[in-house]
Amino acid sequence: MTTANWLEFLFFVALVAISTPLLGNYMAKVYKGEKVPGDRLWRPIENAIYRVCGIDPESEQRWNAYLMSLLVFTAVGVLLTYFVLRVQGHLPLNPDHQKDVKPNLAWNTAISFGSNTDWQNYAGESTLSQFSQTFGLMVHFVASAAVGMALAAAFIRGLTRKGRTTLGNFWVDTIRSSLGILIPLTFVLALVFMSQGVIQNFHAQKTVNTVATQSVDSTGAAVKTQAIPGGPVATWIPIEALGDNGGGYFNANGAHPLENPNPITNVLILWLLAAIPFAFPWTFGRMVGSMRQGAVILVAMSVLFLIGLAILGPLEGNGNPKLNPAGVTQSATASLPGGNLEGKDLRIGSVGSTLDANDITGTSAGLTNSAHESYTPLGGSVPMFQIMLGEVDPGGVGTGLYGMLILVFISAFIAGLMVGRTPEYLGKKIRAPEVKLAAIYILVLPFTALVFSASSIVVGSHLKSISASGPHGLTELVYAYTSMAHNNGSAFGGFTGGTTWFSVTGGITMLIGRFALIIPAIAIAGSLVRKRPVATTAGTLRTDTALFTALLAVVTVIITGLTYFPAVALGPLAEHFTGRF
Amino acid sequence: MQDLAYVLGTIVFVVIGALFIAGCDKIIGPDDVALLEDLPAGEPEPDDEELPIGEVAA
Repeated sequence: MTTANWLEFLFFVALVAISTPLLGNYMAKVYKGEKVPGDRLWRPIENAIYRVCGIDPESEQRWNAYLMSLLVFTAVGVLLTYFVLRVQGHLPLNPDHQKDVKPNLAWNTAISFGSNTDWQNYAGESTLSQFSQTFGLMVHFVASAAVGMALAAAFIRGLTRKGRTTLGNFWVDTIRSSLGILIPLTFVLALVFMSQGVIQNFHAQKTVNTVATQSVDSTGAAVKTQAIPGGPVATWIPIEALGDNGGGYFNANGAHPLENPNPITNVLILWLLAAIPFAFPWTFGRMVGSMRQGAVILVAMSVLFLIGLAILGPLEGNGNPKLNPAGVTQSATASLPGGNLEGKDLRIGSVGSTLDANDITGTSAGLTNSAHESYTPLGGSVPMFQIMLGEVDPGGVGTGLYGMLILVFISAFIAGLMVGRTPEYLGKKIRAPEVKLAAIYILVLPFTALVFSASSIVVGSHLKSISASGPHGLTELVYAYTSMAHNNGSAFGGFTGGTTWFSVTGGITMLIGRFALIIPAIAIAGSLVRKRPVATTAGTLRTDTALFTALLAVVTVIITGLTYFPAVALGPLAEHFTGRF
Repeated sequence: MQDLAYVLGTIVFVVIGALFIAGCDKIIGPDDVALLEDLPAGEPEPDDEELPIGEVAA
């Protein structure tokens, strides 16, 4: 790694280390309803929304009512977005005269953004109007992220409350997450991104003359013009990253110079992706009154994240071994960043690309700045495996925390069985109902992703959507469904998802991925909130020790390995060992 | 026609979600049973499996 590479990595780590306690403490106060800096600005708006919508902020909901509110809220949001996309040609803010989006694509996109997946079967600059991007999709960046954060707050209450039946109020938690956390940060960060050259406008594409030839037209003449798109991108990027959404305003996403123009914006994006997920364990520690318990989650997340990076970095940084016999220089020079550069933006290089790949798949964002398909086989398997881990290192905004807490329950249950201790967490006994729900939580996504992958292969007419043959083609397909099932949204590349089959099954996969996890997770919280903690005794399994942290990390990997390993073996591992790259 | 199918499909998904919630509710059981476990602080909860009358735990 060059000095610039190390600086990029260290800046990222430093920003996360600084923001974790600051943001963690702030979010804990927001969810406890305490006074926070700046609340004089947004509390009046919050109260006005309650009055207009007829919400009683003091009334609380049982877990099932909380979830029904979420289901209805998401369904209404999806249908509104579907409608906007279907009629965008007749709506304002359409300077490039984009046509109405076809039903298959509109539904897939509405589900995708409503579920915080942001899988994109389209190129934004050539398909969507600025109205659709702003009011159809960007609204979901805030709403879907706020929902994830609200769920995490509700889950924490399930652990902290004793002998109760309610987890809070879905509408209050979601509105506070939006107004108190996401929107203020987005506003400030949009100004920062604008200062760095990210565009913020509503103008049409502008055609400019270029020095170099862009392409050759059908008559063989050189084309020396380029269309420069417009759009409110400086507002889009911070909430895209902060909410772990990941859908790009432009098709090239993080590799587009109008979205990510320089190293400062690149590091800022990397930090924003991880900021809230890493802050949530801190919030958790504050809310449960035990920073040691929060530290266990935070350390386990960090260790898994760094292991992924430590594996991926050298695999891509050392270049493609197949090119070495040809004498291709793959080490860093004054003009080349070094490493395997196929499918990577030369401005960002191998290190910036792998840092992004590990970051976006450890969280639940699809904000790619490189083509994962062009990675070495084992290198490409790391981001896929990060998604398969369940996006818990550090995971999505809120979803990462409760995902890891469910793995804590499983770890405590397994450890309890092994050493004969009572499985408890924060004094609450983990009994059969919680373990059954945790088992549903763990199994439903691998089942969904692998069944739809297998179905796509069986229905062979759809295989033309896969560009590569052999193990690499299988990886393209499995990556796509895994990414959609885990609400990640990043694409491996080389895969065309715009067919009716992939639009419909992809939409179903994303819905299952969102709600088949949320429902059992919040049901667990609804079960735990009723329990009263028991006293700590000699028979209690400690869950705030280094040993338990290690156990948690190992259980996370083993559970993932067992469920997805056959697909990984037939895909990237087979590709690597047969030397097909 | 396709529009109607997608709108209805989304609504059907909400219904499926509601049924899934009801299923999870069955798994965790009614509130009153759990709330009956209103033990004084520090008291351990009873074991899941009750011993037959007259038997003594080892």
